[in-house]
Amino acid sequence: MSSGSAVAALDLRLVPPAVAAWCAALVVVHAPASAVRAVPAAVVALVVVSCAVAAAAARHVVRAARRTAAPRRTPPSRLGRLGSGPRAVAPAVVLAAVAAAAVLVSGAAGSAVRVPEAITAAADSGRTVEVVGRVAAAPRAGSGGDPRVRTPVAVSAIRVDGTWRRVRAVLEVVAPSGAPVDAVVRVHGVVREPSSGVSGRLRAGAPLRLTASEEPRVTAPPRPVQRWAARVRHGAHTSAAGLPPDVRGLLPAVTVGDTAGVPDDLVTAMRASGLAHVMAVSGAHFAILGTLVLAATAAVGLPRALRVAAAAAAGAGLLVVVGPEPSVVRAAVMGGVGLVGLLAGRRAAGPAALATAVLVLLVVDPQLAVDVGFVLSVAATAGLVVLGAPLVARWSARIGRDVAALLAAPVAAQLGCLPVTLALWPTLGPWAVAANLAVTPAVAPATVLGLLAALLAGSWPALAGVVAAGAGAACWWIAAVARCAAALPGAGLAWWPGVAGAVAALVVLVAAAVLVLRDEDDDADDDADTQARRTIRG
Amino acid sequence: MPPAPSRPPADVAHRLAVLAAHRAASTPDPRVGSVVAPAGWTPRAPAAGPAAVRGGAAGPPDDEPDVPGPARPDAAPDAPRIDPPDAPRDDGPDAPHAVPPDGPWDPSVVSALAHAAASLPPTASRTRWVPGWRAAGAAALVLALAAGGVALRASSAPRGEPVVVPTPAVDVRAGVDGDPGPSAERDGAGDPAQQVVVHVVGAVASPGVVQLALGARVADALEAAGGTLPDAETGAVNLARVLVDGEQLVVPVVGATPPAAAAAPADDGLVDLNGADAVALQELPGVGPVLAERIVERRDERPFTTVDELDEVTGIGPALMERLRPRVRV
Repeated sequence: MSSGSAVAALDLRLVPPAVAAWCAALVVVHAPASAVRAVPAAVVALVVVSCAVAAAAARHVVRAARRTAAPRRTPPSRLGRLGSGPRAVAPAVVLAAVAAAAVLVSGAAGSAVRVPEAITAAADSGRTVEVVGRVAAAPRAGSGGDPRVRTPVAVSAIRVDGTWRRVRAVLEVVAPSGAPVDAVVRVHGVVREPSSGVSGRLRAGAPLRLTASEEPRVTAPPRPVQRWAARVRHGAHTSAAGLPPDVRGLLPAVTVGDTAGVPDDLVTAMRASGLAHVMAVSGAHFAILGTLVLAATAAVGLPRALRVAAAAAAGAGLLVVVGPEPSVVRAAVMGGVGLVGLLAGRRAAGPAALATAVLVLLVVDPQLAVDVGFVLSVAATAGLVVLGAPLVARWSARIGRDVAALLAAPVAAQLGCLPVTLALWPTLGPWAVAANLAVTPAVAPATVLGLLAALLAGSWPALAGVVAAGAGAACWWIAAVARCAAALPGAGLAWWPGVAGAVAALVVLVAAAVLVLRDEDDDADDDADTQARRTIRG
Repeated sequence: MPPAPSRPPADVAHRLAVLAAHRAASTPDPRVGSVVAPAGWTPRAPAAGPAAVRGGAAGPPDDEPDVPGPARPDAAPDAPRIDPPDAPRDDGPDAPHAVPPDGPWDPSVVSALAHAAASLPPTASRTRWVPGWRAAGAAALVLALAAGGVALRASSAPRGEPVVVPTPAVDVRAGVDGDPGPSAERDGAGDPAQQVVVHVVGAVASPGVVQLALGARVADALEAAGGTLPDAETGAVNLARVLVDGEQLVVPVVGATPPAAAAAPADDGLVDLNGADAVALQELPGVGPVLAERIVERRDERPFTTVDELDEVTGIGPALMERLRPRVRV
């Protein structure tokens, strides 16, 4: 992995393997299931090929070492010991091949068990079955005026034709009512393929659906930790109860990602103004909480290890409160990456950490490759990691470093997301960056105070109300900015739809990034010269 | 620290650089200070790597103009890598080595970004795309382990083998997420939640209301009601069925028409889904022998509690459901 030393070079060594892994994951997702199950053979071939490459390269290295054993050594090339030429990149090729192979193996193994045969058989027969499982995530309201709620349940057993069979799968239970997260439920229903729509196509790994006409029967309560988490989530609602409607809906959304109470017109406005990400639990939540805990523990004077442990514990707590959904776990990982990238104070660490996270997440779950949330997360983090620091360097000469950093974070993240959002929703929001800038100062207080109010709501409602009022003020500002930006003229400019539009956006973005990164060298040097001269004089 | 006699491999030079950076940061070296930084300034370690190499490890630039920097051969002035005047706080009492995160720094995202920008290395020639063999091997090992773990977990996944699912121990009725109150209260409820109460009538010794443990079967209920009478038609009730709280169990006498079936063409003209036999069900519009059989199968498995449950029966779609709804009851 990336060396932990103070190499200041931009560490992109893990980027090619990450790209290879992503391509392999796309193959896993889109290839027919039968083909994916035949992957082990392909992987064997791949491993043989990469071993051959490795062996050839190793032989070359040995020969090169013998040659360089001569007294006259060639000076190291510009790339250090990496040298150049096709043989020097052999390690990268092998690593990329291994990454792709790992994803293929994991995908093949996963696809064999993702939908157990007992469940597919039940879906094919269309008979009523009974399942037992734990509620995996909070119930969501049905789409399109459907009064039923959808609850993901991690099924552990299914009864078909009177026999219980052990399985492991996630079913989406559509029932008149849901059940608390982590409760064990039993429910009767008919297993069906999920209805395919736009969202169905985007989420290739969507779970099968169990349609039940009666509410799930809870047979065991949630475990204590989850009960505490439910209390905190409930606290987010109760503490916001006395606030105006926009704020009442937005506060739980910003703190724990529960968007059920957000008015529909506000959701539309947030989307139009490019602020929808504020309503979901993203890596930013974990980054904000982590920085806060680090700052607090640093102020107290704890040693570094304890500070990091405290931040990790806070992150884990947020993870539990928000829910164990995969998207939240992924957000936590990306938030940790962002935090590492930013707080390490080394730009070099950012891309390496991001690539590591992408690699590991893709190996663990190749289905993430087509998960919109994951793609957006990676894009935003990549923007932050690659463009953030150069933008600050460019702007700090004119507007001061702190202001520049404040501006650069949302701009870099937005720019990173741009190709993805344009590919999915071909509407260019020219006010998105401005709206995000306007909202930036409010997001952290809203999140932190909101979480605090939710924690306090159970034990000290009066104080929780006061804290929630502070968070509510921040939420009011966010809602006001969203409504204002959505109402501005030209809030939704049509962009070239489809892949072509995304590619165009990407090209524009890369060109802009290259310009920024290029110029920044000269600018930084100029800057530095003047700064150095100034300090020497002073 | 003496200038490197020959050009060392990048690794060694780099280690020297790190050492020098630490040394320069912890014990302010007047020579280093005079070369790269004004007095009172202390370069932060990550930023100071390249700077200190020229100052500490490789001597002043004039000594050896063509010293290859370990990471940046096209040596440009290194002053930009010096930190702003607020840097000395890194030398606070709890930061003997002046590694930035150890100092009482302000770890907000914004200031961290600002700091990252301050220590920004020039990018053009400073990207590393290719890992060394060792790093690649380590990464490959980690990836292989991760993939192996996933494959192992997948191979240990249950494949639908039969299993005994314990009958529910507690029937905790709790609201939708965010309302943990009821579940918390019902936790300690104990007995009432673990019982079913059913009404047994018909050909049993002592008809009446009986209480049974949750998960008990019809046979248990009949036993609790004193057992069946000799003329009881036990074939008419499914003795193995799990009891539902609040239900009424009717044990018919041999030869008697099952009471429910008799009630099928009731006064209201509605067909009782739980009572009507297959023939009665076939009188419904759109219900043929096959569908009627499926409805019977479904209710044998579990009696209908609402008319809406009809829609669980295969072959009854929304349209048929709408036609049936006014004609049936439970």
